[in-house]
Parts: sequence; structure tokens; C-alpha cells
Amino acid sequence: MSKINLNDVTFHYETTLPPVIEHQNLAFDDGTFNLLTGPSGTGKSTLLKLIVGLYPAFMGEATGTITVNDQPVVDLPASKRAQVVAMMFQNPSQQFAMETPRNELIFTLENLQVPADLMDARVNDALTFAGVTDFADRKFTSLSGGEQQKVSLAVIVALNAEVILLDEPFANIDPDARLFLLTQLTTLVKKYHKTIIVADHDLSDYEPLIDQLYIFDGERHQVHQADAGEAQTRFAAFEQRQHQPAPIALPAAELSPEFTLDSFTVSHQTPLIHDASLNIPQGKFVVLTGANGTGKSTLFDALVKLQTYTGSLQWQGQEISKLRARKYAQHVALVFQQAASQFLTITVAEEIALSLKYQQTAAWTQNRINATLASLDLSGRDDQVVYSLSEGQKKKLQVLLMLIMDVPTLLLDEPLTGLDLVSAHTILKLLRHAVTEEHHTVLMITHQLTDVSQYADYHLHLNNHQLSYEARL
Amino acid sequence: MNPTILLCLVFFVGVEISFTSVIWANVVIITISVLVMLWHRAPLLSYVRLLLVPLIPAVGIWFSIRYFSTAQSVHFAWVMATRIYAYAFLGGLFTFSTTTEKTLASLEQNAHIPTTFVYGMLGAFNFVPKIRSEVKIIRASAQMRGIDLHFWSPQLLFKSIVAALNWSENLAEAMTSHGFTENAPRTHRTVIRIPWWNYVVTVISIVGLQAILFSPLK
Amino acid sequence: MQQKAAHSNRWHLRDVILITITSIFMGIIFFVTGFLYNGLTLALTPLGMAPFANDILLGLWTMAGPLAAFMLQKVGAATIGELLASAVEAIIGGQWGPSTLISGFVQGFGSELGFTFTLYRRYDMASLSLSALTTAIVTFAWDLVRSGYAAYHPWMIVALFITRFISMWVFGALLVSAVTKLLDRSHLLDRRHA
Repeated sequence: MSKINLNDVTFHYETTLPPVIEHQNLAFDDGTFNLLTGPSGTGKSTLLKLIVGLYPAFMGEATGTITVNDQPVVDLPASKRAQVVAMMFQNPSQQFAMETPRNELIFTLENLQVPADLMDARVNDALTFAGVTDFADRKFTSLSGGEQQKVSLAVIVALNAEVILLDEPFANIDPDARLFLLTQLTTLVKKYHKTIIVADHDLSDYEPLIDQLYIFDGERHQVHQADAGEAQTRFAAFEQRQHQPAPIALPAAELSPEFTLDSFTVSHQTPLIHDASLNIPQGKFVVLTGANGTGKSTLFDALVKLQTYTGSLQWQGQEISKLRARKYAQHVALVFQQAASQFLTITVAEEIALSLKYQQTAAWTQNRINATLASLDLSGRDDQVVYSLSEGQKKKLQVLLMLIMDVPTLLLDEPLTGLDLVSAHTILKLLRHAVTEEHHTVLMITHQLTDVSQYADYHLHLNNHQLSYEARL
Repeated sequence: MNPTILLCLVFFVGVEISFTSVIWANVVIITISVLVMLWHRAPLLSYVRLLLVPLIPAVGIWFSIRYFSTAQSVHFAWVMATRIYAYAFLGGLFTFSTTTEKTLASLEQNAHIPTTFVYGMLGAFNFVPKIRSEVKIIRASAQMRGIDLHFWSPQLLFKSIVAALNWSENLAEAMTSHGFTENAPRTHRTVIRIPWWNYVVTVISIVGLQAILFSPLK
Repeated sequence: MQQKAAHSNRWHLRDVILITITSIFMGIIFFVTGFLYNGLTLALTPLGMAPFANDILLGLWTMAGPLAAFMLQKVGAATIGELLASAVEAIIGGQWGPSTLISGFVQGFGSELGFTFTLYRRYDMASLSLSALTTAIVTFAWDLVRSGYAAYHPWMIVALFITRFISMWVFGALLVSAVTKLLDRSHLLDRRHA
């Protein structure tokens, strides 16, 4: 029997924009574990927010009906709806109203008007199930992304909702927490007969767990249920696309260092890098890898003075914590993980003009920029508002803006996320060019490793609080 | 004391001393505040802070009243200087008698402030550390593009609002999915009451203040 | 699913969160002005001109009201926005504790009048300038009593008022207008339902 039904659902963010979801008919069965996949930015998140009733209440316009247990979700008040459909969100740190996990659970039960004398037992049960008891009274601001998603699971358990939706819930959390959460979700389906839909672009570990695979087709703005054959092909294709490491050189000891770590230790909410000592060479293209939540971005933050550390971290022989930020920014710049962090004006043309105005050399001319825009498929968007670009387009523009600045050392935090393979190659070529022809230093964090070894010089890996160079990438 | 009652009392006293000019009343308010803070074992540093922070404005106003008021009254100069200290110590009295969480909970349950405001504010306060680092990120990323942002730069505030828009949307959606319904009835794990003696203290304080303010002996 | 409802004056959860977070941002960005204020006060004290330090910078602390009015375009937005901002200041360790809330209310009410006089139909430089003027008048009336301004010589009262109005115009109208122009052009507010 189907638990969730979508009947001819169409959704627009704005009437003037094309629909994100169009004439969608879909059903999810009771007591099943479902995976929804598709390229990022297609509308997986939108679909989940429609089912949980947040859209169109918060945003956009919708037609058609969505029912859970044959009841339209939009007809239920939030306190009732939460007991039918619950949701785990993409940004772990932006989903709690209270200071501590325990208080968040109490807040939730108060919203449902649970009598006071029944609360504590329900809170404790949920804390135990989600493995949160040990940090139930710590402040959220001191918890890691993985710990926060466990709290989110605790809230869902306390709500005792029949349908559980998860929107890219593992994007920023460590592998152990991911595995734990997947195990507990499976228990919720098998033992408590919950219906689960997870939206995820990363298919690893799901094949044995799920009952149904759903695929979002961005071109047609529709989701369809994959039959057994298609599901198998999808999973097989994903396995094949999994990266096959190729050999890569190890840095020679006599290379002059751009950065020097000596007994470098850094933590952010949890201890991350411990007692690391090594050099990052000048004028090379170094790729930094490591699992989610191990501290790659925190290392970058330390390299640009946004994070305190202990031990020594030097740039060309000078301690980074003692450098003046403004001058240092002309030598070492970071391409932030959130592309929008880099924007200062409104339109694409204004952003490019701004970078041209402040560029350090004249290496980038308007002609070169136009040609590069074309190769990145960004031509003809001069007057478009940067915030309305797709995530992939934002990334490409962001990298270009920072290349135009022509800063000698560029750190890039996941510049390839959400890019198609052609665009990824274009970006990698540009970075390689900056290293080979302009003798810049490039240090890049990435999860997307396909063909990266063709462009990079060295591979630095962060694992188990330690940094080391690897001979394969 | 119940935070709502205390807040009302503090407001009443604060407004009334703004409209009257009795040094003696200000001194009594400061003394009572110190006694309450002692009772709540406020750390030594907080007294130092309460003495130092208002010092500059208090001295400043003393001189300007002394030089540039029509009467050049020493008495009024002292009224203003002690008034500034009375405001500060009333703040100290309140701060050390309760916590933000208790105050907001009491405002929800006793003063019946709409829950949208109570929990909206509480939720927003979780972002304080994120906001601090976001300001640093905005400044740093602008520097990397060759631009220094100052507190008067429109871009700095604009980028802040862009972040605030994003976060407020995400948090409001999450709170809604945690069952929060705007201004709907809720149960309370901890019910906050107003003990009878709170009213007695309030009445005595107000009557006492009137006695000082309007006594012929002043 | 009727979603093109009339513009509502009700405050929704995300409005409260938005304005509170924005106020915290402003508190953190303007934190440096605390030192500026103390420095100015110290410099002006020997001249007996200390109140000018307050009036030069006051515009910064009254920005939240017009900004909230602009972002939400609701009746009462300036008052509640400024009140939320003062609550933020009181909670995150402002200097004056609950008395901050009283000032916040007075400032918010002052800003609100500018938008009331334009019947909540105009959100542009004209209404912002009018709002700066009403804020200056209302807060000044309050300071005549609370900060003893009434006791000063008439020339000093006039000079203080002019200083205050200029500060409020520069920050509350000029700067707020620059910020809201960026916001308008970004269309980021368009997707939100009122």
C-alpha cells in the first residue's frame, strides 16, 4: 500500500521561472527504505520539502496534491504534520532552535503538546537510540556535523513520525557517523515500520539497504521509480565511476617550501590535525584529500588566518599567525567552499570588472576572460545576478574571479563540486596553466578525483589526524 | 524573583528616575543593586565592569552639565552622573538575578509574548559564533579580492543580510518541521510561576521609591 | 494551494529570526564603534561637549529600525525591528541592561513615524529621510528628559539636535538606502512570501 502519493504536482520557485517539478505523479510504499538520486541542483531537495509541507508554505507556488496516509499534507498544522512526516536537513548546524540537544528535544515535545510528565522518558529513549546521550547537555556550537545529525535523528525519533525524509544528510559528516546513521535508519524501517526517503548523490553503501531507487531527471523535471534492472545499472555505473587511483610523484626534499608545518595541531569542535610536520612546495599543484569532517577546510582556514592553531605554521619562513591579514591576502588567497562567500557585487559583469580593477598583474585581459567565460559555458550572462546562478555556475565564476586576481598562491576548497566532467577539466587546465606558465602555487581540496592526477603534481592526504604525501591519486 | 515581574519593576524604576532628579534615589538604587548582586554571588569582575564602563559617559555628562547647562548646577551634574550609574547597576541587578533562557521562558508563560518572538530570538542566538566567523570570512574574502570592508561599507552589511536570509530560512523550516506552529498553544516541561512574595517586593520597592523621590526631607 | 495571499503585517518565525540575526551581525560589526564612542567622549569631556559623542554615532544604533522596515515592509516593522535589536544588545552584553529596551522602543517608534507618515507606501530615500527626521525628533525629546539635554543652553540644544539628525540621516537613510539597493538588485527578498 502506498504511504505517500503525489498527484500531478507542479512546482515553481517563481511564476516567471521554469518549473522545478512538472506534472509529477509518484507513490512511495509503506515501510520501505527509498533512495532518491540525481545530479545536484535538480530539485531533490525541493521534492522532499514539498512532501514535508514546507513548500509552498515557505517558498514558491505549487499545484496538484500530495498526500500522506491519504491526507493532504498542506491541510495539517505544523504540530500535527511533524508527527506524520519529519525531516533531516542538509546543513547540520542550521536546524536547532535551542542551545543543547536535550533542550531541543524538549522544545519539540512541547510543540506537540506532550504532557510534561511524559517528556523525560521519551527524550531519554530518543537520545539513546540516536547515540546522543553522552553529549545531550553540551552546546550545539561545540558539536561536530556528525554529532549534530545524530541529534537530528533523535528529534525525528522523539517526534515518532511515520515518514522520515533526509535531504543530503551526510554532506558534511564523517564516515563513522554516516555508517551509524544508516544502520539506525535501517532499524527504523525494519523494526518500527517507518517509511524513509533519502536524497543523496553519493550511492555508496546503499545498494543492500534500500527497497526502491528513485531517479530525478533534471531535463524532464520529473522523478521516476527505477525498476530492478535500471537500479542495478545505476549502482554498477556508480561503482565503475568510483575512482581508480593512478601513480603520482612524491615531493623531493630539496623543493623550496611555500608552507611549512611544524608540530602543527588544530581543532575545531573536535581535535582534527595532530602534531603534523611537513612542507608544501612552492610553484606546484598539490591536491589535498581526506574523508568528510577530518579537517581539510580547517587547515585552509588556518592557512589564511581564519583559524587559530598551536605549533608552527609558516608561509615562506614567516609565522602565519603573526602576518598582517591585508598584506598576506595579496600573496595567499582562498577560494571558499561556499561560492557565494566570494561575491561582493550583484551581476556577473560587475564581479569580473571588480576583479579586473584589483588584479595584481595584467595577465588576464578582457579577451582572455571572454574566451575563458566561453570555455566555461558562462558567456552571455553579463547581467545575470550572481546569486541566481546554479551552484555549478557559481563555482566556475568564483574560480575565474580568483584567477583574474592573479594571487601567487591559491587555495581552493572543493572547486569541482557539482561540475560536469567537461567543466571540471576546464578548471583543472586553468589551474595547471597558472602553475606551469605563471609559476603560481595551487593547493586544492577535492572529493572529485576523476582525471585529477593528469593535472596535479602531488597528493597530500589527511587521515587519522595525520597529513602525508601519497604515491597514488 | 520571577523574571517578568523583575523586568517590569526594573523598567518602572528606570523610567521614573528618568523623569525625576533625586541623587539620593539613584544612590539607593545602586546600593540595592549591589546587595542583590552580592546575594547572587556575582563575580568580582562584574562590579569592576559596572564601575568602569559607565565612567567615561558619566564624567562626560558631569562636565557638560557643569559648563553648558543654563543653571550650571553642580546638583544636576551629579543627578545625571549617578543616573547613568543607576541604569547600569539596574542592568547588573537584572542580569545576575536570572538567565536569558529563564527570562524568555517567563516572558512566554507569564507575559504571554507571542511564541514566534520568543523562539525566533532563541533560535537566532545559536548563530552568534557563526555570525562572528561569518563577519571574518566576509572581510577576509573581500581582502582577497583587494577590498577592505569597514563598518560603514554597504557591502559588509549586504553580505551579512544575505547570510541572515539563508540561515533564517533554514532555521525557520527546521523549527517548523520540529512541530513549531506560530503562536499555537504548547505544553511546558518547566512551568514558571509567580510566587506571592514577588508582588509584595514589587509594591514595597515602588512605594519606597516614591517615598524617597517625593519626601520633603530630600 | 493559494499562495498569492495579500501582503501580511503579521510577523512570521523567519522574519523574527532574520531581523534578530541581522541585528547580531550589526552588533558585531559595530562593536568597534564602542571604542570610538569612548575615545570621542574622552576627547570631548574636557570641553564639556561629551554628549556630542553620543549624537555623532547614534545613527548607527538606530539603523535596525529603518532596515527592518525596508526588508519586511510591514506596519510596525521599524518599532519591532529596533526593539529586537535592543534586546540583542541587552542580551549579548550591552552596557545598559534592560534600559536598552526602553531606548530601543523610543528609537523604533521614532523611525516608525517616518513610514507611517508615508502610509507605508514608499520605501525610498524620501521615506528614509523622513524617518531619520522623526527618529531624531522623538529620541531627542526623550533625551531632553532622560539625558538632561533640557538643561543645556539653547545653542547647545540646537547643535546637538543638528548633529543627531545628520548622524541619523547618514547612517539611517544614506547607508540603509545603499544596502537596500543592493538587496533590491539581488532579488533575494523576492522569493519570500510576506
